[in-house]
Amino acid sequence: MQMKERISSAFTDGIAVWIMVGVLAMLATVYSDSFLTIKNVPNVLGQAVPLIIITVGMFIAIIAGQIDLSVAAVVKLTAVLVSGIGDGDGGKFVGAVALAFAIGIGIGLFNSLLVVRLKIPAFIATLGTFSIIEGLVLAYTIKGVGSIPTPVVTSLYGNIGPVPYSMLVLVLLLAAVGLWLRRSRMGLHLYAVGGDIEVARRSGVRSGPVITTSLVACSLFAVLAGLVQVSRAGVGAPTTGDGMELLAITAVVIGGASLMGGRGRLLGAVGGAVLLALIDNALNMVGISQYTQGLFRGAIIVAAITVFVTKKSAKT
Amino acid sequence: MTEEGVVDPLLRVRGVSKAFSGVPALTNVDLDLYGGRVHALLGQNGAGKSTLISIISGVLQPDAGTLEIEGRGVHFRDPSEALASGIVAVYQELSLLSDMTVAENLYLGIEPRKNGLLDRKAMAEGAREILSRLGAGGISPLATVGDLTIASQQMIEVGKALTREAKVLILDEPSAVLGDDELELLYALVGRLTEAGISVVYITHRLDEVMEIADEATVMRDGSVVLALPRGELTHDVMIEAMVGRSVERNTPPKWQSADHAHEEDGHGGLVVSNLMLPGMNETGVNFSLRPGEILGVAGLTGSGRSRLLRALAGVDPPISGSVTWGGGPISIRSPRAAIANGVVLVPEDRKRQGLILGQSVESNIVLSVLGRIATVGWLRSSNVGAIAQDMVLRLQIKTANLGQKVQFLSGGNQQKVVIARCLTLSPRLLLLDEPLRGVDVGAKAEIVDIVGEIASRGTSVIVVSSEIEDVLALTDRIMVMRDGIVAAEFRGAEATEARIFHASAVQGK
Repeated sequence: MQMKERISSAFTDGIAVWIMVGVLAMLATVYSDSFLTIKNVPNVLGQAVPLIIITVGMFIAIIAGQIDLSVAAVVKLTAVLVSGIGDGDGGKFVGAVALAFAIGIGIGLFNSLLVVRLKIPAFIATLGTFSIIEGLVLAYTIKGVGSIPTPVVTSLYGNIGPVPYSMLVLVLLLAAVGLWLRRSRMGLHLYAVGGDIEVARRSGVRSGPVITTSLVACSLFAVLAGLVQVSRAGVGAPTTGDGMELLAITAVVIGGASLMGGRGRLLGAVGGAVLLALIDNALNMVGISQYTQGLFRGAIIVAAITVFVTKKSAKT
Repeated sequence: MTEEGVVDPLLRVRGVSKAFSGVPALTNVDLDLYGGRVHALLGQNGAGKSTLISIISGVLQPDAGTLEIEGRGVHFRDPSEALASGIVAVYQELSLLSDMTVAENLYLGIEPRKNGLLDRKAMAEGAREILSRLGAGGISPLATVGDLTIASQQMIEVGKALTREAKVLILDEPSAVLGDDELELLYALVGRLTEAGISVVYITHRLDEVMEIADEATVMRDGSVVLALPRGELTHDVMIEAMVGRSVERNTPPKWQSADHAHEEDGHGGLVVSNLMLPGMNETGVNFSLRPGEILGVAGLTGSGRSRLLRALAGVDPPISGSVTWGGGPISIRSPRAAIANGVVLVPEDRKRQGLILGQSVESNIVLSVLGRIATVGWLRSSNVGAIAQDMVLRLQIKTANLGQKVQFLSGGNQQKVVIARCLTLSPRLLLLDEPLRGVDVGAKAEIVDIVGEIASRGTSVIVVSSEIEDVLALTDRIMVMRDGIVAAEFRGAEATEARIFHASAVQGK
């Protein structure tokens, strides 16, 4: 009983997921010579960065009791925009990036208009937004467009030791977000509104601006993720980001956060994203076909959740 | 302070009306609250008290009427504006975030900041000070609220009002959830707050409490104020008459009275419970017996095991050990399903969450437990379902527009009757009632007492648990008092008095 509770609290504290990361990395090292190499490690970390960024945004939305299914479409939109408009030119690229962030804010505001003003559940509202953006992107292009300036691309592949620059920047970003969640008034209000919107309201918290903040932040992180993703690829393809919303939600959940909102640790969600990236890489390394990887990934996730999530005992 | 009569009210409510989808909940209500006084707000459930305090605290907006604070007209669009004006409400249902810490809950919405960041140190220190003022210094400001007991949570709820520098403090039925020790602390606190010039609105169903702490009282009925009196003119009878709109006889004899042969313990064909060890209780076990058609009241303080006993018998939280027999033969209670199969049925404490599907009709709720028995190869016949539900509605006098009415729109008393109706469709031998009269108005209480009496007269044994000794005594004069998971005392007939029962529950303390 007590053991079970301890396991469960390690899970909700976001510790368990890092243990899984460690175990998986060890197994991959043992079973594959090419896993722990100077070539592979930066590769895994670099691959993980966009997913981690998008997961941070999703985490903020989920903590506030929302969910954002439009993030993958935002990644896609960002990719084709900065690549298509920038088209390899440094000056245009900067302009396109600014435009992408502005559009990100716009999409976040649009989502929050639907959720806060029109009282449409975030699940449905952002599903609609997803479809709209997807449609816009495919109307714009159905194949890769333009290119990303070479210096931008190479900077993303630069490393200090085994750690990519992008990972270092990401760590700073995570520290800032962590501080914001833990030490700002808005951070506390995100948890409060996600925990119980009516209680928060009666305590004098205005839920509208809190939900808006969470959805705009989520869109902005999606733009950033799209930017990193397309810069790694060098060209904006309309398939960029496909399926990432589900991966991000999965990462948040295996990181121990409650899908109902109000409970979870940022580091746990990040660990979830790292674990997902690691699973894919490790499966590659031990030579499991791409086509059956989904099966293994799913099995690992379900097993992890089964072990760690004990049903919260009902209050009397 | 200026002289009496010259003082202006802190809060003046004039002509406030409010309707929900055309049904009036408040009609032209006036209320004056003065600094330094305790104002009791009374009324049966549905009288409009909750709507009135919701309007005062900004949760709801009135359709008509005005609010003035210290002579200034105010219009609250949401609770944050009322809070900013110093109006703080402590609601009956807990409004705490269970995943957050005590300090976070206390300061939610009014967080102290330093250099733009939360000042968590100031929050913790402030929380510690408030907790000690509440006599709850044992609670850590960093504890997660969900891990605390309900009573501690209620203290934190009150503490929330203290962090907010209230001018008007509204306490919505604190005595329904607080134990006696905590209530004493609360009374002392209310005294200190009124000395500091705060106006306290105290909502309660307990008339003794009104006599004890209120300076004046307002009684509401059907959405209007029917009586407003200063303390000197308050009496039990005046208040009850105003609340129910007719005079009520007090001290009626209980529905069921112990017979002479009450002490025969064996061979009576009913329930015998021996050495029942309750989960979470470190004691020797519970022993008692019950004849068919007998009503047993179980009293005890919060945590005494009274609700656990019921949950154990109903198979919800099965006992660790011990035996339960009916008519001499052992019966299984290892799961709710097994208990029901053996005719043991529980009417749960929290009817809204555990007893009813609120969004479904009266009919669906009543037949819910017997769907399997009345279906033909899995299909329901609406005439069949309707007949069962209609029978119950008539038998229990459930006041509903029709069988299709959603249960959430019924009053508390009628919701309780629907739960009892559902349980009766299972034809129980033993009916377990956990707090059946909680949150039920005076009129409906009397009806439910009658219903329970009628059920017992048909041969069903009944065990009633209630935190209100008075309620148990209205039902039966055989009372078992629990303490620390064992039977501490039992009273029958004239022995069963409120004072004795209370003494037996509370002696030896915690």
